[in-house]
Amino acid sequence: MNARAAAAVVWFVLSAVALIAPVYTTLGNRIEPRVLGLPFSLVYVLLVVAANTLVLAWLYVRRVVDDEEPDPP
Amino acid sequence: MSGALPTAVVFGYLALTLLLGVLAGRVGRGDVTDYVAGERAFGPVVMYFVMGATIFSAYALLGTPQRVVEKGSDAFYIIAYGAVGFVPVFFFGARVRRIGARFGFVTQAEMIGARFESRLVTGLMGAATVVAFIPYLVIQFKGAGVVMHAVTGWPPIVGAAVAYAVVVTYVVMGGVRGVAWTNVLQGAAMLVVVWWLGLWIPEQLFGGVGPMFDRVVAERPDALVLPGPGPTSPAQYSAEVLVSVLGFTMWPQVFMKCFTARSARLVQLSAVLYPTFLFFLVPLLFLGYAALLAGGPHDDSVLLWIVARPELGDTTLLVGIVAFAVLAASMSTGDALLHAGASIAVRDVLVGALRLRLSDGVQTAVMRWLVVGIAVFVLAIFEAAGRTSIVDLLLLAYAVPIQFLPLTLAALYWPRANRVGAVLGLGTGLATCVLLFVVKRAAPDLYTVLNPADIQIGVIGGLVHTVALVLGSLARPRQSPEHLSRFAP
Repeated sequence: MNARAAAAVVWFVLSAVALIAPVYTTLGNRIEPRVLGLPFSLVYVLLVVAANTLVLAWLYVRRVVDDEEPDPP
Repeated sequence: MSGALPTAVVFGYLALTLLLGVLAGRVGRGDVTDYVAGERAFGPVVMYFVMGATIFSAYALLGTPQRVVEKGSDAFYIIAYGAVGFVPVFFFGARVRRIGARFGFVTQAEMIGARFESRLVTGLMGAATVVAFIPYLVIQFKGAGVVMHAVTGWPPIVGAAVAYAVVVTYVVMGGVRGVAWTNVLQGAAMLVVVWWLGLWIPEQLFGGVGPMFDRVVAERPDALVLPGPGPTSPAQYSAEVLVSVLGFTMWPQVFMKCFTARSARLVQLSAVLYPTFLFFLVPLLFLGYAALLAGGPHDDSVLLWIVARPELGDTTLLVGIVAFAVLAASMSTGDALLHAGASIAVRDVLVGALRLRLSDGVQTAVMRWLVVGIAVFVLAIFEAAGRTSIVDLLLLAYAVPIQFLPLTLAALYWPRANRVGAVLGLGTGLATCVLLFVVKRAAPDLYTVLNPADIQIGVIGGLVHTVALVLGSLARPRQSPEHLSRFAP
């Protein structure tokens, strides 16, 4: 596995840690600040989803993981 | 609640699904690779909806708002685990797609068994999968029965039978392509209906999503943070998230869809796009909070309850549309389970483990009969299975995919893993789960002594599995380099 792929694995493990206790309960589990009316406890989870999506998209575009195949025709 | 309009919506949808599924059956060669893996030719749109719609079951639609009413922000766990749960597909999916095409694999257990040169591993995985699917299918049938009852007034078992007669027809005739094409329709329908309702109902009842949450903050702030009204302790919540993450991509009906993609890179693309499906749970949370403020019921009827509020005006059409969305969710998961269950029973148990010499044509014929057989069996236990026992059985069912995680990771990434490790790991892992499950039912006191923290039995089984897998593998020599090189990426 190359270094960038390994870094990505670490990132995703950390993102899982961010979603559970004690990190989520300390940082995310609160009502304020509200974003577009939504409570922060939900916004926090959605931000992690968005961040992971961006990382996955980057890995895909840069062909970091399992990159030896051509694009689909 | 029954009326002509909702009935027309629901039956129109059923007719359209049937047509689409039957048309799908007219494409392709009709052999095993076609019936189970769609000739490995699915494109991006179909892959996207197959992955998303298979995972989002009737339980996601009916259960998410219910969970908000019952437990408040504990319901966010379903988004939290989805944020990470599908990521492993991005890492192993391309490799699985390539190895599958190289050897002609169409199921997960075939691939793992071949890697470890063990028929026993294939057979055990296949049998455990079919057992795990049964309670999962019962839940889907129940969801279909509930909404068919709301629309037609028929007893739930009759409604479920009608909806699943449609599913069985298109799975028998169309195979995985029938499942996939209907999933595109079902997935798109779910997304549109759920977003529209999730924004429109808070608008009508409270003047918008923001004002609705203003009221929740004022009246029920406890429902916006843990521990919530449940209450859910931080440890419980974290366990829910982690356990779901571990098992998520190991459900065989999801895993084996890696074999259906047109290319390895396309499997990765579906993992990148998957979170857009997660956002579809957000409006269901909104509907849950709307029901919480409006004093809705705490059971799985809450979604149908909130769309039938008299303040919304004439709601007969709304009920039909919700019924349609729930049916779509139930059927898009149920079809994959029936299809995968029948495919796995034939490929992994009959052909893989028992070495029955069945021709390609006979295999697909048996799969088709098994789709009918499994559906009839689930209907037969539909009434007999009381609510509690199904929830209990689901506990065992969810433990099964977690047992496949160490094995799959070792098969793909640990060359040192060998047959002895795999057999020992899977055997002890599954045995631990079944034993703990039986002890919990038969001798609750003993269970409390054995598992004082009440850790999910799948996790304990998974730990036992991992230790046995590592020790067993290290005790025996590695497999031949020639064999391993064929499983290299």
